[in-house]
Parts: sequence; C-alpha cells; structure tokens
Amino acid sequence: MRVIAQSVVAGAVLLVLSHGALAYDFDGTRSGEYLVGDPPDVQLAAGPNHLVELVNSRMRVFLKNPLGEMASTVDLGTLLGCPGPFDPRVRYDAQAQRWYISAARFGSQDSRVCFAVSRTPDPTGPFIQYQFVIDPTVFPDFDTLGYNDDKVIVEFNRVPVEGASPPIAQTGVELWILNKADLLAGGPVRSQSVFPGTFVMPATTLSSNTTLYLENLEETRIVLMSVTGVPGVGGGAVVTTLPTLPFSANFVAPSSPQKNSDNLLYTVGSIRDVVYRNGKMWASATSACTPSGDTQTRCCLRLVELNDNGAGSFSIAQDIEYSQANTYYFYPAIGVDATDALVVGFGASSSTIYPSFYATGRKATEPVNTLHGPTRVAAGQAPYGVNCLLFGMPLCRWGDYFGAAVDPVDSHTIWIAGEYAAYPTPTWSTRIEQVSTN
Amino acid sequence: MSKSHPLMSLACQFAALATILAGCAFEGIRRTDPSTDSPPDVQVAAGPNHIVEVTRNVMRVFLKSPLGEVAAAGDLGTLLGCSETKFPRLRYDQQAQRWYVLAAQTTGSPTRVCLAVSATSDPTGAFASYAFNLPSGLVPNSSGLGFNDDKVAFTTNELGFGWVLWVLNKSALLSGTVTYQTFSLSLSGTVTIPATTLSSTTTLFVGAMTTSLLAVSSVNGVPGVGGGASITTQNIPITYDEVPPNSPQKGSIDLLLTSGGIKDVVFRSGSLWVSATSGCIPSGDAVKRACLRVLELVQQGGSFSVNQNIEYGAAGAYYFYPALTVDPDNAVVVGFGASSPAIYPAFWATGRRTSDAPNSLRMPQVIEVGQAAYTNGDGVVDVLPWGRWFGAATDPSYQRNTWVAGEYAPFPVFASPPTPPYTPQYATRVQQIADQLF
Repeated sequence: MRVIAQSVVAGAVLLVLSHGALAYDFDGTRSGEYLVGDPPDVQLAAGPNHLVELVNSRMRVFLKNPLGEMASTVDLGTLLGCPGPFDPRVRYDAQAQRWYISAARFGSQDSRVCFAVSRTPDPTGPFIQYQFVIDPTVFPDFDTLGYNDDKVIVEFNRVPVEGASPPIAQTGVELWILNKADLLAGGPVRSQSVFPGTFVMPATTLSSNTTLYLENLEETRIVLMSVTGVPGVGGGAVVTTLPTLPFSANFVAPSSPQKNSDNLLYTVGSIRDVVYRNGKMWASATSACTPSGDTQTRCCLRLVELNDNGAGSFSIAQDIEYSQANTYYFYPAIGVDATDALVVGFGASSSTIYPSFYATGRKATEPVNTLHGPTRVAAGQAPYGVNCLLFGMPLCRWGDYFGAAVDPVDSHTIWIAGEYAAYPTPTWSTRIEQVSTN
Repeated sequence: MSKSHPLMSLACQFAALATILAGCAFEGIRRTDPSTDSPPDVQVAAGPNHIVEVTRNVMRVFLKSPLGEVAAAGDLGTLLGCSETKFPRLRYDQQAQRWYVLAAQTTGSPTRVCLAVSATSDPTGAFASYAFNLPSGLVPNSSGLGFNDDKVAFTTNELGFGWVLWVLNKSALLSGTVTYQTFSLSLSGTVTIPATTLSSTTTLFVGAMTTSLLAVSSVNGVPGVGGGASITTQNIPITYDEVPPNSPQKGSIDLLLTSGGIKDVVFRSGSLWVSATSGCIPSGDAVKRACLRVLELVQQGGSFSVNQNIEYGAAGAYYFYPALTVDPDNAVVVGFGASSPAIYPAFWATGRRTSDAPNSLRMPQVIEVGQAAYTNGDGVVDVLPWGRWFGAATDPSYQRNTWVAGEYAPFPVFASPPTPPYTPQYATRVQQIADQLF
C-alpha cells in the first residue's frame, strides 16, 4: 500500500496489523503463459472480495484476503464466448454488484464485440455473454467500457479492412448502449447502436447519475457527450453532443526509447481513462510535450479534471501535463476516490530506464494542477524485445493501456495494475499495487 | 520521521516514509528462468552499488540505483569453475570489499566445494575461483560460509564423514593464493555454520546446535601464519527440536520438505545471533509445527551466554528458513518462509529492535504472498524440497538498511497445458527493509 499523503505516517500502523495481513502488491500475469498474448493491455477491477486482472487474452482472479492469492484463471475467449478476443476491458459496478468485461474479436467471417456480465459479485462464478456481431469488412478496435446507474456502454472503432469485399460497412466510432436493468436480470437485453460521429470514451461512473458522460481530449478541444434515457424505455437512450471546451494538447506522442536497446516502445498518444464522480470528471491521456529542462518532445501524461456545472455544462478545473526531462511517461490509468483524490498508474521508459511501472497521485486538498513525484511500483529489469518490427521499424508493441480501479469496500483504496519489462529479456510482467489515499 | 539516505531512490524514500515495505523490492530469480534448478536455496548480499542474488546454478546482479535493474546475470558453474553448483552461499565482506560465492559439486570424481572471490567490490567484474576437492567417496551435502577480519571460512556436510570446517587465510585469499586448514568438529553430525562477522574481530565464531546444546567454536590465528589457526568450543545447554515436520500447503496434498538446523550465524559487536528452523508446538496449538528459533548470545569474560532465546511460531502455521542479519543498533531482521493448509508457500519477514521486550519478535509481515500451491500435480502425496535457506544481508553503505531474499509459490506459468507430473515453479523476491520498519 502506498500512501499519497506524505503527512501520513503509516509505519506504526503496519506493526499492529493482524497476523499475515500485510502485502500490498503482488505478481500479476506474466508473458509466456498459455493463451497469453503480446502485448498485454493490462486491465484491473476491484470487487468486494476479489481483484480481476485482464490481459490479452486471459482473466485472473485474485483474492483480497489473503491478498494476491490466485482464486481462478480463465481464458477470456471462453468466458466471453468469443475466440481470440483482444483489447480487453473490465469494470466492477459497485451499485449493481456486477463485473463487466468487454473485448473485440476479428475474423474474416466473424467479427464481434463481446461483452459479459457476472451474475453475482463473485467473478469466479458464471457470466452471461452478449455478442455484437459486426460486418467483417470492418475491424473492431480499441473498445472501451463505461457505465452509470442505468446503462452500460461499449464503445469501439469500426476500422475499414483494406480491400474488403463486399463493400465496406459503415465505419467510425460506434456506441453499443445496453439497458443495465436487462443485463442484471440476465435475460434479453434491449440495446441501441449509435454512431456519434467522433471518438468519445464512456465514463466509469462512480456516483449515482442517470446521465452517462463521454469525453475525448483532442488537440484543440475537449469533446463531450451525454447519454440520457435507457434503451427500450420510453424514447430510449438519447445521445447529446455537449458544448466543447477549448483545449490545447499534442497527442502525437513519440515512441519511447528504452535502456540498452535500439528498439522503441510504440506508445500511442490519446485518451486512456474517463472517470466521473460527484460532479467531477477526470480524463487521462498519453500526450506529447517538452518537459521542463528539456528540449525534445517526450511522452507525457495529461490529466484533466472537469467540473460538471449542470445542464450539460462543463468547465476545466485542473489541467496537468506531467512529465520529466529525458523521460517518457505513458498509459495513465486513473482511479478517483470519494474525496476526489486521484491515483495514476503509468508506464515509464527512457534511454536510461528499462520499461517500468510507476505511480503518482494527488489529494483534493493539495494545490491544483499538481501531482506527487513519481513512485516506482515495479522497476523494469531489462529491455523488452517482443514484436519489435512494427511497421517495418524497430518498434515494440507495449500494449495500449494500464488499469486502475477504486475499491468498492474502502473508497480510499485504489488499485493499479501495470506492465514492466522483466528479466530475462524479452519478457513482460505485470504487478498489482494497492494505494491508499488516506 | 524522514530518515532517507543517499542510497534510497525516490521510490524507496516514499515507501519508507509511508508504507515501508512497498516499492523497495524487486523480482528475483524464477524457476522458469534459464539454467535454474529446484530447489533454489536463495542467497542475497549487498555491496556498495549492487545487490546479488544466487540460487542453484544462477547468479544475478541487480543495481541499487535504479533499484532492481539487472546489471549482469550468469551461470554459477562458469563463475565457480564447478560442473554443478548446489547449496550456494553468498557474502559481501565490507572490510575487504569483496564478494564470496560458494557452492558444491556433488557429482563426478572428485567431488568438490568451489569458492569464488571477486577482484573488487564490483560483482559484475572478475572473480578468482578455487576448488577444494573432497576425499574419495565423500559427497558434499550442505554448506555454510562466513568471514571475519583475517579469515574466510566455509563448512561442508560431507556425507559419510560429517561436517567439516575449512578455514582460509583471508589476506592470502585476497591476494590470489589459498592457505587453509580443515577442522573436524565435535558436533560433526549437526549443521555447522561459520559466522558472518559484521564488526572487527580476529576471532571467527562457528555455530552448531543439537537437541541439548549450542556449540560455539572460536577460531583464532590464521592458517599459514605462526602456529596457524586453532579452535576451541564452548557448549551451552539449550533445548532444541531439530526435526521440524514437513510443511503442508494450501491447495495441494504435496508437502514442503522444510529441514531443520541452523540457517544463519551473525556476529556483531559482542552479540552472536543464530537462526534455525525448529520443531515446536506454538501457543494455542496441540500439534508440532515448523517454527523459527532465534538466539542471541552475548560475550561475557571471553565466553558466551544466552541473552535471548526466541521460539517463533503460530498456531496452525509452519515457519521455516529464517535468514537473519543485524544492524549496528543490534536490531534484527529475519526473512522466512511460511506455509499451512490455509497459506500458499509465502515469503514473510519479522524482526526486533533493541528496545523491544526481550525474547520477542514483531508480528510477521508478508513480503510476497504465495499465489498457488507448489506441486507437481500428479495427485500423489509428494514431499517436495523447498530449499534449505533464504538470504539476508546488511547494506554496507547504510547499515541500518537490510535486504532479504526468499522464495514463494507464484501462479505457475506454462506455455501449454502441463501433463503431470510437471516441474513445480518457485519465484523469489528481494526486499529492502529500512530501519523505519522495526
């Protein structure tokens, strides 16, 4: 457990914890395992008694007590009824006491977005599968997952398949809006499909709200949408484009060098997480910036907090560009606690740093637009070297995102999961860390 | 409250202030790594800039800054010039600024014990290796390694003969020549370990323990100098159950072979600390379990007396392989293994400060949780060797900082579904424990 506030001294606390109760981080999934692919695309969610980590294409369920013990491991394809799934996402909905999992599948005759919901808060129990079949002339990419009181939204990109025949189906971003009450009932689910016209990521909604917001950080503006109503009820779900907010960012993030290797990590810029809680909405992204004391463009973290002013009006409360000279930061996964404290798990690499898993964060009471100094969760031990001929260049796939989740039992605990380069090269490994915001 | 020191990375300062155990640890050698063998017999030592871990067949050098990066990795057989490297031992001698690595070759003729000595304080540099052949028909079956101002000593359990103490002229060894004497010990049938000496003394102490006495041998003089080395032994009455039971584990019918006997002997500033695995019936229990025995002997008028005698166990649990080190304040850190029908094989730690109540150790802390059973999966009750010891070392750059390395059962990684009986998998973790802990 890593405590954000340096004023809190937890040393004494450790010594009165009960027998065997203390372990705050543990091994996650590691490359080389049967049916685990490269890169992992790490995801994490926390339930009352379990932690669930997803990678391509495996689900691992860990106990919270004793922390880190393996409760089960499942092939995601089997769980989803969706062979060869990729871009996995997982959320735990504390209000509904259910786990949501999504992933995409692409095949020449079988493309789908796959979704599963648990029947209980126990992720080792049964899941109900739902499939969204897609014309195989499009490639379903970078699915994302959000929810609120009455809806679950799976968003994905319909990327045209080059040379596909028959003619290409509709492309672009699609929202698959699911009636949450139907999902929880376990029967047929009323849903709507919407093409919003631009990429927006649905929020993980951690406080009660019948509006589900979607957001994207673009280079000159913040795009916002809302979804009200419920599929199959009254007029159904209504997607509304909200006023954009002026913004300035560079999301053409460079690839990240790593120590002792000519191979770069392909670290893509763009939004990674959106979390809505108590009238505030945090978004995280990998961006490009020139850190203080530097003269070159590096990968940086961009963290933006919006105030929900009501009636679809938002304003920027905080806008943080988090960087370090000569260093590349990427894939910020965020969790927000009940007091608006923020925890960020992210990747770091440079010509002097092996690919590592770092964390930072802030309490709501701290000066605006500040984050703590970075804390290393798991040091990279060696250079990474798998799948390193991307686009014919010395680029390695390092995945697209890390994972973070608020604990539903202790809202001052946030869990993060991330990837680091393990020894012996070229393996990757993941580590799961408990962070307290108390 | 801040007791940061130059060695600590930012992450470790942060962790030491707030959580102590997290963030200052890293992944060690795993069974899935090339050239490894079972069991590992984990050892760790700390130099000015490096942490070195050895297990059977493998040596890995990690940087202290950035903590956990792999600086070098090698095959112990190559380093030592031995065709087999069982029962490895490792020490860093701060006074001499050298690393000592010891292992046994149990096959071939002659069998031998191999010792390597670094040329400098840099373990990535050159080592000089020396082979000590055993008489025909004798097979080394365990080892111990220690040093003081003027001697380096190791012990071997030579099957068919008993424990033998080998004493080397340290000055000669550091200059590249070997002058030694061997001693047969009065308690030749029991584990005998020379002390790691952390304060200046020309007497090298050696510990051995039977069910009724603790024998402390004092070696004075130096081989090849004057009358050479001589040995005297003081027998101190104690009660000790040297036969702990094998340790059950969660999730498997297989047992861990957790052997008894002394594991570490450390001398510092008049105190001789001894750690051992014992058999005991913990408070509140009715069954004999594996327990830790930790003794402190103090020098009084040229002889030792027992100052503290600690039996450390827990009802229903099995504790084993206490690796011990001592800081300049006589605070003790102990890394050890834990297992039970409710606990997967795990790596834990405890310790005490000088100001703590005599004959007490703190509550155990989980360094790394076991995630699964250590099993070959064949459905038959097997007793699987879990090694013979863990590792602990004091940091020479900041002696209130200690390092422990131990073994745990990770969730096994298989490239394809395994067919029983398969090779069970262990992993090791190296943990920094700063003085704020105890």
